[in-house]
Amino acid sequence: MDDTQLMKGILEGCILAVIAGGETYGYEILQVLSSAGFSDIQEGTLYPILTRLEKKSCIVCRKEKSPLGPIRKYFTVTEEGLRQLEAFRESYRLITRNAKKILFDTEENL
Amino acid sequence: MKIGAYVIMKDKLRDTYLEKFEFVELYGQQNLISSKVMNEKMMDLIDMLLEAQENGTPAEQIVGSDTLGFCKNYFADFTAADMLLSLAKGLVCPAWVLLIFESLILFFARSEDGFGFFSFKDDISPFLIGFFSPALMSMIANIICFIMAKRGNYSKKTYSAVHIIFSVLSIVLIVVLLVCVLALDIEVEIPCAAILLPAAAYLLIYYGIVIINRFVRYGTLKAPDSGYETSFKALVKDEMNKYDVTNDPDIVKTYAKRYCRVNKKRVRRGLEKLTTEEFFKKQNRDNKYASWIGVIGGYGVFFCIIGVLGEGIEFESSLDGVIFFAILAVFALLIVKLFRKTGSIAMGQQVKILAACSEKNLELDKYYEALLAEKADTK
Repeated sequence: MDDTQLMKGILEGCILAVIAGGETYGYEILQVLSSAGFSDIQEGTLYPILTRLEKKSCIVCRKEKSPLGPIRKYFTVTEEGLRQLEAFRESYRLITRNAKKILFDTEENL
Repeated sequence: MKIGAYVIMKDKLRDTYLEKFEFVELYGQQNLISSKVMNEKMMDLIDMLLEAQENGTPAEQIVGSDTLGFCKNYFADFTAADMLLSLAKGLVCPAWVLLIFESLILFFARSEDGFGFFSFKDDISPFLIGFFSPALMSMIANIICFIMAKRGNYSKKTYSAVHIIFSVLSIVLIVVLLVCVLALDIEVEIPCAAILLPAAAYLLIYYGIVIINRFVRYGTLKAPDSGYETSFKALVKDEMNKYDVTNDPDIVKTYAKRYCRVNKKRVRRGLEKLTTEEFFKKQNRDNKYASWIGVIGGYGVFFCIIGVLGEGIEFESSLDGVIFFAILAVFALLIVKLFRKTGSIAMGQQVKILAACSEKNLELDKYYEALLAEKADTK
């Protein structure tokens, strides 16, 4: 089954959560996601999500020269972002609880 | 932000990191991604790849094994509307040129007998030949590259070859058309207003769309990332200052070749060879007035041609003459400024190379040979 759409939705919430943890940048976000097990996340997926979050005013970006030279985008969460993150957490809890009942609890009863 | 401004950072990438970067860059270029989007996206990618390179993280962890798939995702927010706007931007410069030149022609012709804003005609064949031939060829080359990109061909060599072939073809086309126009005495006379008004309308519509688009997207009439551009300029300056030209064989080679040529000539004339320091001093002396000599020479040729053709320049009033020469002076100053800027960059490079030569106690040609040997050893 193609899990791209499922991943995109979850990733958006996870990336928002990482940024809510403090000001961060692309590579750092990738590393956090990678160490949490999202090893297939590449910048191609990350940046469109960051752009989307920025357009929804969930995050703001500041540009500054990185220690290695290029201009780096540093992301920070906004009030709106924190509200969206809370809403995402609630929906995620509800969906996974309900899905778990169907996907796994019924399997145990079989 | 200027086209390809991220390029100065590219040199820091190596091996797979550089390969992956160049693939994405090529994808962007062949899919007509606007220079603004390209600069920003490429800068983001360089930042990620550089840090990965420093930390020993494989490039695949950033870009993935399917680079083409990555590119499609990466530029996903660049829509067809953006592409149209990017293409429309290409016509802004010709529109400005037409607007300015036709306005000047109308201005200088205003006192002619029977002059009318809508009836005055001008021969636009030089414009068509000099401006639209290269534009046409470049457009065809871009379309070919775009089709290749759509078919999944991302070879940098093929892409460069197409552009070189069409650049040569545009020169051939200019020469052929010029010969034809002169031989057949063809004149394409069009009312100036018929050029000026559409050019002005195009510019108004273009800037109107840009402003509306900006407002819809970012809620502001000003360019949203002006801070980014300011810091970018500082970054470019900083990087240029930090860049070690003394370790770059291509740059050193340029000076070493010139140094050998100058000394060869001197030996032939029975003069003593110049030291590196004397050579650079001579270069600075030569460069100091070269820009002005070039400009004065250029204008000299321009007026000679007009004199030879027997047309001469006659002004209806002294005000017209003043305006005409003021325009020429502005162009002259712009050209000299450009030369001076290039000259100051070259001077900075020369100071660094001279210091490196003195440190190793070598003359420029020997320093270049030593640098090449050092590079070969490193490989």
